[in-house]
Amino acid sequence: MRLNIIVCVKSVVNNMMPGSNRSSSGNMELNPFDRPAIEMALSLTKENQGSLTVLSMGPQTATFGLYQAIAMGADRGVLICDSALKESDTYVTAKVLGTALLKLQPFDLVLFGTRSSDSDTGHVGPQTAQMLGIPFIGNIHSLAVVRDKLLALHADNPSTEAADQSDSRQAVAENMQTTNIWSVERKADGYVESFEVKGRAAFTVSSSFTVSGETGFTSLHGIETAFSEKTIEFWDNSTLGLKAEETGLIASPTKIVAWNREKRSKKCLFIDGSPEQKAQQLAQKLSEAGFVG
Amino acid sequence: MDIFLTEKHKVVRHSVRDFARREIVPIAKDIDEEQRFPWEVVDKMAALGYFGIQVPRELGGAGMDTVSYIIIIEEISKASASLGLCASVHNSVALYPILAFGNRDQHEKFVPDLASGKKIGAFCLTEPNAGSDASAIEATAIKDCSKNSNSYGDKNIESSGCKNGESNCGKTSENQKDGDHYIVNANKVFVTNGGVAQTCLIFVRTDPAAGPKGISVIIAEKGTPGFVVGESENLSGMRANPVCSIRLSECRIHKSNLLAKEGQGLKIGLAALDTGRIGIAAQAIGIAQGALEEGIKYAKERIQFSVPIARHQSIQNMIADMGTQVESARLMVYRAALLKDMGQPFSKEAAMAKLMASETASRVADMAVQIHGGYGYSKSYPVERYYRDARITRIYEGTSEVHRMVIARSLLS
Repeated sequence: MRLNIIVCVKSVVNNMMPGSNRSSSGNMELNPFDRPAIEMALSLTKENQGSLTVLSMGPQTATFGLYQAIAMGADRGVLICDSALKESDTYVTAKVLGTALLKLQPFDLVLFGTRSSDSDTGHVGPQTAQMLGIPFIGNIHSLAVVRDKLLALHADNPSTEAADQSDSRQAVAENMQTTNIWSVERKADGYVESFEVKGRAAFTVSSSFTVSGETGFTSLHGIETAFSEKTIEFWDNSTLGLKAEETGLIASPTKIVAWNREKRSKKCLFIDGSPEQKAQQLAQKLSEAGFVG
Repeated sequence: MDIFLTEKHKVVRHSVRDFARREIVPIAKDIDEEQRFPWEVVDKMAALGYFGIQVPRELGGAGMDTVSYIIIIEEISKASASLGLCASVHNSVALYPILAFGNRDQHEKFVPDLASGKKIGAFCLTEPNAGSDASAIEATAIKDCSKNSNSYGDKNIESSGCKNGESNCGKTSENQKDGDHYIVNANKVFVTNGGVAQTCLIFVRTDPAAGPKGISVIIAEKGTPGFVVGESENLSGMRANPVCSIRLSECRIHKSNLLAKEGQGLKIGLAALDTGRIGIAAQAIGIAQGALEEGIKYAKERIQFSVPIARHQSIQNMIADMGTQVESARLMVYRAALLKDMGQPFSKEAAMAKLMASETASRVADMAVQIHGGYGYSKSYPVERYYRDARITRIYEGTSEVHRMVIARSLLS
């Protein structure tokens, strides 16, 4: 049985010029928090001979992050790109992604990074799961699909009527295609929580997740494959059956009303006294600042 | 510079820059001081495809173009010029001639292991008495049933072993003299990657009487009886690259390892060096860019006369000159690479790019040291290493003087 996994990714601006938010492919990159989600998806698709689609919403320049994701090993890239989507908040973004995910059916699993390195909301993963009405767990660091158990579930409940047997087998086969049991772990408050999740689900993947033995870097072979063998599909609002007024700033319930650069100041403090006094004062200052203790 | 780059080139640059920042920068100072070849990082470079950048994918390479190649060499060299040198020499003057002049059997036999980085390649041309004048090499490769005498090294030994019927052709017994092997004697010096290379292109005389037309290239593999690697040179710069002498003494190598035909050695060498120059130029750009960035960083941090020294006009002038010269040189390197990718002649442009980039690297590294003042002369700051590493780029794979000869010849023809 193949696993169809979709990872929703974002291209973020990594080197914004002062006084400008203009983005080009030269200063955009795949959101670093999305990489663990892609790596987790790839490890699952390798084990289960599945396929991985990366889905993104953004301007034309967002192809950069998608190509990076495809170079990591994704099979297909889809970019939802429409001028009417400009300045969508996370609610509208989740609505658009949710609509696109329904169009990408069948899928078994949707993964997200925990947040983006630019806007840093962490909203889109759980909001999209809510739009789709599927179970969600955040910040997972371990994921496995359990299928033997699923077979056992069906074996425990065989059909007794011979006439129904073929229908039952077909129903089981259909169910097998769409139902998995996910064994999931996340860390919280000093504990490791273990979950079992049945059926289609959405998770955000912890930035601590790494695949052992992998370098975490994109190979030249992957990049060449991405550009010579794969193409990015462009979808717009009409592809998704969305009206312009259903997306973008106009449809967004939350609006950014001001955007001011955070003022940061560095203060250098010299500590005087004997070495013991200096150490004591240093420890006290660090404790007061919340770095120790 | 991005106007020349496709989205793929930018993804390549992002990827290799990330790798260099996270994997090479942290060890660059130590491997220079310890004169250590960092296999742990080289293995990762190999896994990422950095040793088969332009090799066709069907032979295990990444199948990329020359612009991608120079992007990769520049970014690695900015972090560690020694590792940039390793990748440049391996990809250009070691692997490229096999691809360009080798036959199908040689492609299948040598290229996949080189492209995957399982084996490192080297280019063995320079000898104690043959540097800029490559045609003066004395190394020989004589067919094992030839009556020609070995004109190099152990001059009293008949290379053929045919004379008097004695077993005097190295490790060849009389019944092995089938005419299918060369007996190679060579003393090659300043071999980049020499200490780690397993596949070496050896420039030899197959016909000692034919002058430059008697020079050929033999592919020799480490482990062949008579193949001896010398100690690493104690160099001023590029100290993490094991530059060694390699000596082949009565080394019996099958004729199938002859690259192209006998007598084509100089043609192969010149073609390899044309390509190699683009790589060394990219390496010099990497060094210069690194020195520029360190100079800017320090100029903003260092306070003198109550202000960062970047506020002083003399420092600003240096920064402006450094930036302008780096960009000028980079333009020339990109031009040479683009011409090569377009299948157009690029020999003159590659020579100009190498001349400009290597001299720029030296000047820019010198100014970066000057901006750092006394600290720039200390190993505590990377500019001291850039300064040492930059110097050799004006010497190897053709000195600046030889490049001027090549350029002048082209302009005056």
